[in-house]
Amino acid sequence: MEQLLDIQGLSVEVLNGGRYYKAVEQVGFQIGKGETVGLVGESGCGKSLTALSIMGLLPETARAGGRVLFRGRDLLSLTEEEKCVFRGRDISIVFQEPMTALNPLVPVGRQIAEAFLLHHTGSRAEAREAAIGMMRQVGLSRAPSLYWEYPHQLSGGMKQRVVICMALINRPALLIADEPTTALDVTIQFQILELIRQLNRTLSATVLFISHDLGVVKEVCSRLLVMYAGLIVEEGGTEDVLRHPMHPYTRQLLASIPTAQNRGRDLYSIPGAVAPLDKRKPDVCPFSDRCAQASAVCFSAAPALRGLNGRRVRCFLAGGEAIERC
Amino acid sequence: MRTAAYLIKKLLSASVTLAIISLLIFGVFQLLPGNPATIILGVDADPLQVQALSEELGLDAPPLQRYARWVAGLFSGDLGRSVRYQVPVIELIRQSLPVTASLAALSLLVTVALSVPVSIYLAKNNNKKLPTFISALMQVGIAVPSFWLAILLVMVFAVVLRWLPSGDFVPFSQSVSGALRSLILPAAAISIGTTAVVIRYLKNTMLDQLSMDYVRTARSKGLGKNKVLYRHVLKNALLPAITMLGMIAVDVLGGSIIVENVFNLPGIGRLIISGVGNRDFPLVQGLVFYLALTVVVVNFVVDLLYAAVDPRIRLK
Repeated sequence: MEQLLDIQGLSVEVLNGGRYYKAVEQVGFQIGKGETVGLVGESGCGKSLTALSIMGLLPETARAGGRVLFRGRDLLSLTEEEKCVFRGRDISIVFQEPMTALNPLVPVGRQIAEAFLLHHTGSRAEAREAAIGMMRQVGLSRAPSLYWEYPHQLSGGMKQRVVICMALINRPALLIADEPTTALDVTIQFQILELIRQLNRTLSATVLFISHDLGVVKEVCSRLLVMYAGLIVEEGGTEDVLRHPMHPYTRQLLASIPTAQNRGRDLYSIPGAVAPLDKRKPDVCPFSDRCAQASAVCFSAAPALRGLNGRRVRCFLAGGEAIERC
Repeated sequence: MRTAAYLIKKLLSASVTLAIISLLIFGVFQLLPGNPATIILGVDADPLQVQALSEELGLDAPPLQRYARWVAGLFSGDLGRSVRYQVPVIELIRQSLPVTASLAALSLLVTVALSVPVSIYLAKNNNKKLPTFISALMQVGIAVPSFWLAILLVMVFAVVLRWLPSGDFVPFSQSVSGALRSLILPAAAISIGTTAVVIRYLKNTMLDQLSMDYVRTARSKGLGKNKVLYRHVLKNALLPAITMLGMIAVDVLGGSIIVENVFNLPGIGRLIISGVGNRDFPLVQGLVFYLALTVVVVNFVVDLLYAAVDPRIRLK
């Protein structure tokens, strides 16, 4: 498979009270052309920061290190002007909040056309044609009249379709979907997931799908990356990871998805929370304080991400007998 | 259709407001103790004179009839006759309004022309040294009282440098450039304070807007920081500033009493002083109505501007 994105040793430091804290560390993964990869983890694990550093859209209080190679070119080393050229053309992003993602004072169609005009030398009429075409493609009915409507006249699901239009109108090679369905209600959620899956096929767009919800990710992704406290803790094919999770964190994430099996019972929730940035200890396993299986070794050193049966896992105990069941 | 409905609604509410204001003004002037004729002429006046003035002012009729007469007068542009000047009140306002209105227009123009670019600059360069210094300067601009600033401006530009006249308004009918020259210093005295306030406000709304999600979306399309500011943020940030500019407009149109007096401008502010000082009861009543009218009209214009810019209001 042709490699599209190759992230090597990505770190993101966040300024907090005059000090920089590592919020993302040693993140490395590849995405092949046409692949749909899921990036999963709870709030504060660094998945959105990872997405923003690929886009070059980190807030001014954060800085990225390492390399983000897109078609062999390091995006982190680009100037702001160069970033403006690839943003929206080669890589696009769909954010979580469709309700506030659009400018309330500009007709939605114009906002889509703007994205087209930024990367095409065409007339306004051509941009409008392209926008209306894209609106039809993402299943927005009566596109020509909808073009002139304002965000407040659209429902949340329609707005997210508009945002997706905006992201895809330039046929980017990579689409980052950062929690695209989290703010939507369940039926709309399903429609948007279906849309992303279908666009991945028809436009052969590569998708990096970010979510805190394993249940959602498994619907669209062929491969999974699990992040915890700024680190990748597990990586593998979706089926494999879901069937045989190797990292205790992944197992606990799986246990907290509502399914037919655990219907009627209290939903499992992982005790505790991710340690805040200033309380993280670099020399122990980051999950040790919430892990039921943690043994002495987990508190003595930080585990490395190691290959295991064609997958990767960051746990001392993985592969051993101790954690076959939990 | 919805836009028309919005306009009609706003127009109706403006009319109702005016009707209530007219009642209030009339009512308050009724409550003033003593006969207006006695107040005007003084307690030692000849009772016959008081009687004559009462009749002239129409004070002998019952209140309801007087209110009806006053309102009918408002509709035909008749606000009564000034006791002091012996000319119709509407005539006095007509003479003073061009001065005050052009002062207001000039001050607003200067305020907008200065505050928009400066606040864009400040918002773009937040946290840097020079902008922080400018922001501190704005605080001074807000704190300095306009009468002191007016006197300072006269001292520097009229007395020492002799660039501009210190007063003595030249009517527009005589010389447009002369009139404008005599308005520059007063407009500066007013707009330094208003500009500082608007910059502070506009800069903060722009910074708020810059952290909004739609800005991030626009940036993710490939728009540069500046383009996002001009194409997306500015319009959103100006929206709340319209209200503020409206308030400033009302303030200046009501006649800046202090500034008009320092520069000896024959505007509404001076007329108010004269009306109150001379106990010119019809003049004061007419001016109060004029002030109320400016508030209602400016608010209506603000509503129109809002509707023009914001589809959420226009299409609700």
